[in-house]
Amino acid sequence: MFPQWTKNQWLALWLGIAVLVALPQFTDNDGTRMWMDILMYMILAMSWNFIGGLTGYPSFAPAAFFGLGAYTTAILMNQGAPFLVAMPLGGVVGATVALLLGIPILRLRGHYFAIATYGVAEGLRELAENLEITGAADGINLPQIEGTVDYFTQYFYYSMLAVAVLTVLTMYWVTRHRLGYGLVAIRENEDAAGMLGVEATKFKITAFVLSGIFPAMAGGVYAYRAAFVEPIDVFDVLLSIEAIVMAMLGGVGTVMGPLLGALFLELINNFLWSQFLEFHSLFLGLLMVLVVIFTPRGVMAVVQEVRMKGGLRALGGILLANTQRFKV
Amino acid sequence: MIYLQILVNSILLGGMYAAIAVGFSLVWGVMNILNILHGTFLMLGGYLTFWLFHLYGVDPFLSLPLSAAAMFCLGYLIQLGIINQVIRASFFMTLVLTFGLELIAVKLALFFWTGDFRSVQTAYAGYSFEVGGVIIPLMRLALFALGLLLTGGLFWFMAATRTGRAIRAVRIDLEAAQLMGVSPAKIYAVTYGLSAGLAGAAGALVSAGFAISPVTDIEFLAKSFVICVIGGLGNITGALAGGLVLGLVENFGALYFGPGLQNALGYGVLLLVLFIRPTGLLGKAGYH
Repeated sequence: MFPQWTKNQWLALWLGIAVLVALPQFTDNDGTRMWMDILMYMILAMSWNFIGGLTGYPSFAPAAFFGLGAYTTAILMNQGAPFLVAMPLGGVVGATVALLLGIPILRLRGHYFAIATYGVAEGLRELAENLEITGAADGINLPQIEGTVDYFTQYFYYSMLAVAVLTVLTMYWVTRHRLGYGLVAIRENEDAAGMLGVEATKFKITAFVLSGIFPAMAGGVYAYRAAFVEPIDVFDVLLSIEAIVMAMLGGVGTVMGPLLGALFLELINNFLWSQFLEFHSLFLGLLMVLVVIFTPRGVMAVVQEVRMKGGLRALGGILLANTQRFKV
Repeated sequence: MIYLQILVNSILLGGMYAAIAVGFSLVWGVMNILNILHGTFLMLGGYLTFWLFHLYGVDPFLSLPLSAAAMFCLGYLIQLGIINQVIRASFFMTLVLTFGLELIAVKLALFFWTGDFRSVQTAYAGYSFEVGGVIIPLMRLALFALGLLLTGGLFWFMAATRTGRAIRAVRIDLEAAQLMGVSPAKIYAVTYGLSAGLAGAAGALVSAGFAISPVTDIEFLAKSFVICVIGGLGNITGALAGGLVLGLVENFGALYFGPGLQNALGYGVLLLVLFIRPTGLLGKAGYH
């Protein structure tokens, strides 16, 4: 299912990381910020992949964890905690909430699970808009970082990169471990997996916790960088949607897929933002419709089929066949 | 006295919630689609009513059937042309599909109509009367009546008409229904159209009582989630039961915890119901 990576694949990964580490030296601050956003979405998409991709539980909770991490970091830093303490603690809060929520929520399946996770994210947003500790609808300011623009742009960039590397290594480890095989077994047939000795509840909760910890840390970096947190910004359901679409584009349940999907969609988004600011969500919507209709089994399945059937000439036929596959 | 007033408010609100959610429950129950476009149909019905009133002075009660018919046609075409293409894929795919359509529709609505809040200002919009010390706003009463009417109408339609029986047949056993000469593609389109039409009818009156904007569609959708989960699927009266419970929770919650937290309370009840009784108050396995 998940073969060990070859030497070349590892080389490609470390090379990619090396390029990303060196990147701020070769681009201006705008470029660094763009890549920081790409890394953030990579974290969100990969994290969703733990629960949505490997386990097959369609979670709308990424925004919930992102917001939790952002608010935890903001509140702790206002109490005087340094960023490098507050941000990981945000991850701990995200993981704890995922653990406590996961126990009841992961008994639900299908639509009910999707609605429950959506309810958690929206409920947290409503709470943040009304509680005093979160500054209600006004939001909270964070302490400003000191230093030159170059310094803090790179500081945030490297923080995001560190979380992203942590996420991808965790994903690799999980998919080569008993845990990953168990999760895929749950996705394919939960009852059968249980009979084969997969402790489904424990496995699912672990996956949910993993899907909560990294977005929460990314939310912490985001909050410190923006120096301001408000509910509709960090509990935005579009964060969850984009994470899902990125994972679907790149390949649900693979290690590298969500990374590529995030890179692809964010580059397009950046282009659209700069050209037609208005129509960014229109494009996202169109993309979602096209992906579902022409590649209902995932974009990666199409790529594989194209490879097997010999080149791009077969592409049209494959896409057309896909539209017939799930008709009434 | 205040309790009686809040109780009446809750019941009136519950009726309106039933009107908002009954179509959502139908599509979920029959086709297993979590229809993210549901709130959008409400919003579009509201805008149709607004423009008819604003440009030609058509009363919302007169444009209600028009709005319902227009949304029926739109829904019918969307199901026939788009959703039917992938209906046998996993439920997650139709969820993403309708989400994509929602993003497109809302962006277009924002583009053409801007994000301004609008409402139909009829002469009677603010009218209310008093019965035994309890104040009853006219539009709220009308929305409550509409909720009962739509729920009752759908109940009758599913039980008594040939098409209604075909919808139930497709839900219970697709292959057997096909052997009896039912065309699932058309029945799905009719079902989705019906749901959209119910939303259009609700939207017409909602726009006469409340302000709408393109982005309010997600609020209607979120309410539908909560109402349908509380009431339970598989039973047409589930939306009415869920609506009433949510109305009570929101109004009494606002009394005890302040008005800001009523939406959070709604989500709290949603999660509670999911944890304790995932089939909802009146839920059954099938949609009979």
